[in-house]
Parts: sequence; structure tokens; C-alpha cells
Amino acid sequence: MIVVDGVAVIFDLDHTEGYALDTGKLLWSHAQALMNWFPPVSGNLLVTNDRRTSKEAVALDVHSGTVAWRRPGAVIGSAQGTPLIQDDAHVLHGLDRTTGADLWSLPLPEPVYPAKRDTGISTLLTTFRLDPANPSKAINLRSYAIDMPSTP
Amino acid sequence: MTALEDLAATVVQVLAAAATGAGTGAAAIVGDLVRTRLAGSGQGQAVAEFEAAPQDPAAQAVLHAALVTVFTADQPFVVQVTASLPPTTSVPVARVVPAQSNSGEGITVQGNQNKVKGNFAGRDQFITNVRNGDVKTLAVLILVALVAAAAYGGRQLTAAPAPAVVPALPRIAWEAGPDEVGSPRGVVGTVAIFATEDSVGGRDSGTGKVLWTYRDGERRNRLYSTLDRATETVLVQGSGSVKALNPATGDAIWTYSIVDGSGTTGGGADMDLVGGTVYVCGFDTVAALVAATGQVLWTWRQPGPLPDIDSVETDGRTVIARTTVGGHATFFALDAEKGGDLWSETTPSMADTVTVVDGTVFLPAESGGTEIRTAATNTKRWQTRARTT
Repeated sequence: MIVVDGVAVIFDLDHTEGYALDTGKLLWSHAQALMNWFPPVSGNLLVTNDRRTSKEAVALDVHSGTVAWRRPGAVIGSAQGTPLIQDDAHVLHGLDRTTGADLWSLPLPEPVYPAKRDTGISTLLTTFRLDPANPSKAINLRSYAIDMPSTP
Repeated sequence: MTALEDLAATVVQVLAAAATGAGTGAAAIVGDLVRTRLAGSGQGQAVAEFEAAPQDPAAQAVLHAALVTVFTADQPFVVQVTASLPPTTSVPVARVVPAQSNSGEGITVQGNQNKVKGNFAGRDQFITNVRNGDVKTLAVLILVALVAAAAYGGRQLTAAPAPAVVPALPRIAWEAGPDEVGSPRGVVGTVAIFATEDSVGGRDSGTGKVLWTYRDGERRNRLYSTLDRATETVLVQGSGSVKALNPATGDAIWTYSIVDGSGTTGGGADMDLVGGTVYVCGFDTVAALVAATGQVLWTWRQPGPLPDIDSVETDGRTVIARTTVGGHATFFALDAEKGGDLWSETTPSMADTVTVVDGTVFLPAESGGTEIRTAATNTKRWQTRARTT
């Protein structure tokens, strides 16, 4: 559950709903289960993952429930209001938040832990891989400090 | 040697060094990039020959030629490789290849008011010049952009005068690991704060050098930590105390001991920080402290002999403290300013948690949904069918 500007966004197992926080009026219902990890990147725009696959980034207007854009990739957070996703090849992409288009990209060797907060100018990321002998365990943790581009 | 030939030579040098075991993670990234891109453009044989004999000048020359060919045709790849080179790689200014806008509306040198954030080491003077509005440096930047664009196919070289928007690319400033690096908490001043389950540490944000590490006793007790950006302190809660650490040194600025009703020190389960006040729970107690000084604003003890308070959450107006008893969870709502009791509620499952935000509390309902209540009064406003997640 996330509250943004008077709207309570409820993340159910098979869909996502937006309610007026004061009255409980259902404002919209989106037929896709989304992850509830990430705060809005800017204003009322929420950029999050498809809950089932974690391989599609979805930008949702929390007032209307409309999808502003969607594209392949796993959302890993945001920096200075720029949504960050990582693709299957582990390339990190900084996106235009209004269109979802690439602003820049940076290859990384392994998956990145999602960050719940906007990571700011000096972005710190941690990569990991799953232990083949124990797939629930992350190993080979590495930290990266990334000098981020300024947001256009 | 042209800038692209020079860049290709640097890449070959980095990959040859990596083959001897002297490489870094960044070199591995460059290697992956080159391998993937060249394989996709019919130049995979050059990579194969190089990898078979990375120190062979002939194999290096073949890879160099292949890279120049691909660089010439693919400027985004140039940008990608340049951004991925190890930070210590010496790359002359002439290799600066600003990103090209992908808008299809001509070459745009992007950025912000002549401010450039570089993508390679040894760039500082150049950037300083640009930041200072040095005309020659700006001219070089724009010229290199145009040359790169011409090499890329001359697309819309005659576009309308590009706005003075200068691109900035990301780059890896440093990397650390593997393991024992912890999760990043953020940057305070020039110190990057990381935390593991039982430690908090500061690294120089520019170099990654470890400046200090804090652990809670020899038994390496579990630590909860958070960063207070307002006071620029690191708050850590270990066994029996909460401390505010100086992010530059790791030294304690203040310490608050958690004691139970009998005066025993210990415990410490959770804390939450809002608006310069840190709310701490341990044993049967919740305390509100000024994050900057450690001054105790109020303390609250739960009524009766109940299990310890195990979590605390606040929106700055209402504090919700949780305990579990008899297979249920019990929540105590407190006034955040003065610590007075507001209400309490027991929910069906001991796994239940609540969320409090903007004066509203979200409580699990017996029907399976979520009840939305006014946090100050516990008055139900509405209910969802779904459990909030």
C-alpha cells in the first residue's frame, strides 16, 4: 500500500486499485498485479514492476490509474527522479520518466538489489548472484558507486 | 591516431591486462560488451582470436581493427564502452564522445547549463573548464560531438543550432567487494554509509576506501541502522542502546540506553525516524528522542505483563507499537508528540502488521480485507476487500 497525494494505492495479488484516502471511493482498478516496493518517482507517477514476472516496468498515474508507459526490464529504483531499470543482460538504464525512453545506459556484471528510496546523486548499488548450491542465498555481493548524470 | 582508434587501443590494453588477472570488474564488463557487440556484427572471430592469445600483437591488432570498425558505425556503443572503462583508465580529452540524443531530431549535446559530468578518469580539468564556461573547451566538446556524429553517418549534421544542453553519462566511480560490503544506506557529505546485519560502516564516497566500521560488541549483535539526513547522523540500534554516529568517523555522538522496568539494560528491537525525532522500542518501552542530541522527549511503558514491544512505526503524528500475545498481535497507538495513550487494538493473527501514514492507519480486518481508520481516534472510515501489501 502506498499513499500518494490523497490516493491509497492497494496492491492486490491479481490487480491494483486506487482509492480516495478520505472516503474510500474506488477511483480506478488496474488489471495487473504490481509490486508495492517503490515510492513515486515524481509527483503522482509510480514506476514499478509487474508482480508476476518482475520483468516489465510499468509507469502508472496514481490519480487516474492510466499506464503512462511500459517496457521490458526490472525496476530497481530511482535516482534524482529518474527511474532505473535493469535488463536481462544486467544493463542499467536511466529512463525519461514521462516516456520510459532511455536517457542513458550502463552495463553491470550482475543483478542489482532494488532500492526502495530515491538514491540521489551519488548512487550506491549492490549487485549479487544466487548461490547455485542454495538458490535462496545471495553471494558475491559487490557495491558500486555510480556517478549519475544530471536529470534533464 | 584518431580518437576512435585511440579508444580501441585502450580497450585492447584493458582486456589484455584483464587476461593476465590484473583486471577489475569494470574490465570484465568491457569484455562482455565487446564480446557481445562484435559477435553481433560479424566480428566475433576477432574476439575469438584475441581471447585465444590476448598477448599476441597480431591478435591485438585484429581486435583493434574490428573495434574501430564497430566504433565508427555505432556511436552509442562508443559511449557505452567509454562509460564502462575502469575508473583508473587514462583516457585523453580527445576521446570525449558526448551522447547523441535518440530523439531523431538531430545531434544534441546534452547537459545542464554547461555543466558536464564526465564518464572517464582524468577529466577533471576539462570539466572544470566547461563549468567555468571556457570557450575553447566548449568548442572542443562540440567539435568532438560533431566529428563523432560524422563518423556515425553524418546524420543531420546541419541541424538547427543545438541548444547548449550538454550530456552527462553515468560512470562507475568505484566498486567494492565481493561480500562483506553491506547494503547502501546513502551518502552523507563525502561518506557513503553501508550496513550489514551486524555492522555499519563508512566509505569515502569518492574512492570507496573504508573509513570506519562499527559493531555492537564482540558477539556481533544484530544492528538496526538508519540515516538521518536532516542531522547527518547514522543511527544504530544494537543490544541495549541506540547511538548516533558521526558519519565521518563512526564515533558515537550520543548514546541512549534501553532499560526495562527493573533497571536491566538490554533489548532493542526497532526504531523509526520522522521529522528529527527517533522512536525506539525495546523491552516493554517506547521512547522518543531528538535525533540530533539524544534528548529524551518521552517514554511509554506498555500496560501489564506482556511480551516485549517488537516494532514501532510512526507518521510523525501517531506512533504504533506492536507486541504479540496468544497468537494475536496487539497494537498500541500513542500520541507522537507527548507519548500519551490513544487506543489499542488486537488483530486476528500474530503475523499482522499495520501501516500508519498521513494520519491514517491501515489495519487487517477480520473479514480478510483492510480497514482504513483515522489514526488519532481509531475511527473506521472505509474498508478494502483486499489485504494491503
